[in-house]
Amino acid sequence: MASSVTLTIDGKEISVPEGTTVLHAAKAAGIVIPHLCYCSGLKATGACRLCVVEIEKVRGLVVSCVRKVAPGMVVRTSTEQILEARRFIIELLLSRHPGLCLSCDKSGVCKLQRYAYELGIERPSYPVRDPGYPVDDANPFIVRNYNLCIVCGRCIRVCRGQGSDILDFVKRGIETKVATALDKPLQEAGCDFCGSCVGVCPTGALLEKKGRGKGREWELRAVESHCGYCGSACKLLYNLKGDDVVKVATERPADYLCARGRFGYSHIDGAARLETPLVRKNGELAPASWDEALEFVAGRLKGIKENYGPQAVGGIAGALATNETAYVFQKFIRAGLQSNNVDSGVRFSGLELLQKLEAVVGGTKGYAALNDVGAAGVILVVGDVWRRVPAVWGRIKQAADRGAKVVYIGFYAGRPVKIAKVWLRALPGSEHVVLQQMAQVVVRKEGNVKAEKEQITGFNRFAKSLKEAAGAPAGVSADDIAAAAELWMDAKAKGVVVLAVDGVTQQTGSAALNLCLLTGRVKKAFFPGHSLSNAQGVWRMGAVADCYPGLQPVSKAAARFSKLWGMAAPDTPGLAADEMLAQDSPLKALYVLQEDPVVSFPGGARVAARLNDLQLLVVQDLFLTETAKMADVVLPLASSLETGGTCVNAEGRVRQYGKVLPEKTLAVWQVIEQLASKMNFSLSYVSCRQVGEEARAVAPNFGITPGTSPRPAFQPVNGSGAKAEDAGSLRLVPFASRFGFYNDHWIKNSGLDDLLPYQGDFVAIAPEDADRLGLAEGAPVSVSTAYGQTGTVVQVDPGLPAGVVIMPAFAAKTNMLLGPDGPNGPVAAALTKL
Amino acid sequence: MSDAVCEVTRAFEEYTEFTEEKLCGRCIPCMTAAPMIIDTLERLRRGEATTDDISQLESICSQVMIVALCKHGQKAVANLSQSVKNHREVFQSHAEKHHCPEGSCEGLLIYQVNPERCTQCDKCREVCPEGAIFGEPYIAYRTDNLPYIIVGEKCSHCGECAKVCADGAIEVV
Repeated sequence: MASSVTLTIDGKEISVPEGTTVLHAAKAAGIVIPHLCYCSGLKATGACRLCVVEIEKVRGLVVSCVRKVAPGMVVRTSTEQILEARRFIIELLLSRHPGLCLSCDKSGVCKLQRYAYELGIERPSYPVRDPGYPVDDANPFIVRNYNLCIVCGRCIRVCRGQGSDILDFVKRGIETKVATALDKPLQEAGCDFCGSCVGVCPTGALLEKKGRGKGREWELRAVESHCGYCGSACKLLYNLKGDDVVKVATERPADYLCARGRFGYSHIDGAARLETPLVRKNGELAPASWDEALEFVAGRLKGIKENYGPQAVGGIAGALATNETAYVFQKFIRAGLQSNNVDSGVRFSGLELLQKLEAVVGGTKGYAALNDVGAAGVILVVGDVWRRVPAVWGRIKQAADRGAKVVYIGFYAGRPVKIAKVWLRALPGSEHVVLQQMAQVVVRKEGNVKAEKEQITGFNRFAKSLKEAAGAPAGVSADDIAAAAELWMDAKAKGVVVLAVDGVTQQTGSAALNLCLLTGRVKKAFFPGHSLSNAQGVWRMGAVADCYPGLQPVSKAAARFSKLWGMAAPDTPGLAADEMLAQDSPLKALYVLQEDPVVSFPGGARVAARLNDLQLLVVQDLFLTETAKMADVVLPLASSLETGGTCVNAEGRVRQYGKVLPEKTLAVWQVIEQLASKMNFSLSYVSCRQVGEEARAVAPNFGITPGTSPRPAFQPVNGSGAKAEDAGSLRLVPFASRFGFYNDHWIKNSGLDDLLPYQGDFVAIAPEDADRLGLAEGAPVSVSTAYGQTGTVVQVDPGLPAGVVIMPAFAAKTNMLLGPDGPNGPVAAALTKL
Repeated sequence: MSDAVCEVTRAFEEYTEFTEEKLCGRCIPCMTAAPMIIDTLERLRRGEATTDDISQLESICSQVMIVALCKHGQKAVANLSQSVKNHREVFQSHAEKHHCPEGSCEGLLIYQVNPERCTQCDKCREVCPEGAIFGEPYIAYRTDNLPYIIVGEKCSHCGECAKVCADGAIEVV
């Protein structure tokens, strides 16, 4: 703990920790020092000179955002000289600010405007000059008007820290401006539109394009919520005018949101939203009333249950559903329909790894949170996690800037390469081999692997598998592996593995976990990123076949839940999603909620064929998805922003969705309650909150079990890497493109797909492979694997190693080509020119 | 043209050297004040500035001196301040009388026709962009041949007339 320093500011005595800046000390004393270029969360540069103060015995004026406090300092923050200096700076800025506050969107929150007001500048003393820069609004989200720029450099610092690092000062002297390299438009410069720059801009130089002219600060009300796009479930504030979202902001200006969180909200009230139920009549889906649709579903479900038994009905919930939705849904299937065939898309996105992790690190308390990543000393980044959970990138960068050592294991020459001390370019499918080989180095280096590690269950088997892996080809030099292992072995450094649970193979996840255990890092050492906002919650709420809410095994929990619910709950094990959709499963009726199996499950064609065989397919979703198009009944779904609710994010924390928009349709609990009453039973729900309370009661804190002690055990990993393939064949891997997302409709209806190459419909290939196959950028091509074939266009991507092709993860076309066993590939693929 | 350099010009050249060589543009006061300072000095040299501009220039300099981030920026305005202080009468003359005592500010030169030398060839009147030169070409045997005159109010001090005069009849006062 730093010792404290006592100083006097404007006559007030205050004690602050050593190393505090004068600006912060003043803030603690309740004195506000105006500042433009300093922004909390960013490095101070002292460029705007607005925060100058007088310090006794120090010559001249001192910038308070940089100056650290010293014992006995006497600071004055508002003498006449200082006010004069501040006024002068604002006047100078106004001399190159041809903005019209009358019609500027930032009016009301513009810092320049605010300080001009506070300092009483009635009319600028200097003539105003228009710099005359062209306005860049060629992209769908950000308007850059550098005529209003005050060159404070905040956007540059934030872009460097957590964005794609494309902004900088260009030119010198009076021609200085902020720009991308060669002053290209943002999209060409490689911007990934996280919008952090918009968040920190103190003036109207950077604005959200969608919100322009829709309302200004004093007209907006902010509603707190959390983002529903990925597992980090970042906190955000929806700024509404009436019932329209004008913009999305963050709590603090420099907080990170990715493009999806900040700009991807249009899908919620887009025209494509379903608002009335659809029932298939004479082969066509036709609008119907709720009553009619639910009557139809209830009748069919009853009939199928009577004819074929409860094993013939089942439900699949999406990993985007809220806890409350998942809970009601599984209760309806389990207790209402007497079937444990309830599962979720989480099955194909890392469920097994989550379950292992739960046991090994002792529940969510043992997870590394985003803050742990930021505070780490050595970070192992595996795969495309920085794209699947974008918020983690800023933390990795933060840590690296502070001197943390980053080891990046992945085939793609992406962002982590820039900051990685060691880059292990493992080809797809052999990441786990590289991890095993790192572990082997650790074991050999330590020679005397400490006895306690040998005590960990499964050590002998683990050591054996390491020997097998030692010789396997992984395409990475032994020196690099040794160097990486060296960094990871640093016992003093806090080590964190960062990976996307759904973006790595089972083997890779286990191998990473083993590596943590091997170096004695059990708790707070594994960040289980997840692309889906509520994978954790859906699983913990019992919407997976293996367990009732609160992760209770089916066979044991059935009796308890029968009592709790006052309805008999079956204790027969249910079918998992892949079993339900297998050719020979007994399934005849399926209720799919906020999930699109045809698109998002591996082997989409097989899934579609199986769904076609069903006697009843009910789909409830926000949009008419591919699966919904095949359904007998389509029910509209209320978005989580309309109903509120909770989720459990990747860090294992409960996050609350705000009630942001008016409801367009019935909430899930209402639909299920009505459906139940048509089937002559009741779940007796009257509000969403009541559902949440019940869920919390039966599964404390949404199944986030507190205080289980970790039970470290080495996980079995199959030693050999990817099978050696015939020369010339390509490995296809799904890879998270910039805004890869489970539900295409969200992306498309929010306009985010415009930011993707070819609207996100492409296959990327290494330049040397492109040359070899004679494929040019943008050429139409057919991709075929053992499981399917599809047509798309070529994107030549220099970030790829030879022999690897990638397609956007989560896209229907990609999942068509993947096998039932591996949602993350790789699979052998062939490309032919069309 | 005299060889002596006018103080306004010297100060202007010194300051522009700083903006071109050293001014980085990373701190706001230095960067935003520079265009205004340059503009004021340029207007002084063209005789378009007033005494108010001189006081504004001084106040900008003294303020930038206090708040600029580095010594380069501070020094540049300090030097300029010093020039204004030490040669106030020169600056004043540029602003009030639109006159450059050293005769080196091109924008302030006063051109006059030396009647002894003028041969009334009419070249200067043809080239004058402002139509500030009056006179009629010499006609032999006439008694009312008068030398050409330059009207000060109309003259823009461009010096084109002096360049074309083959007889060196147009002089700078």
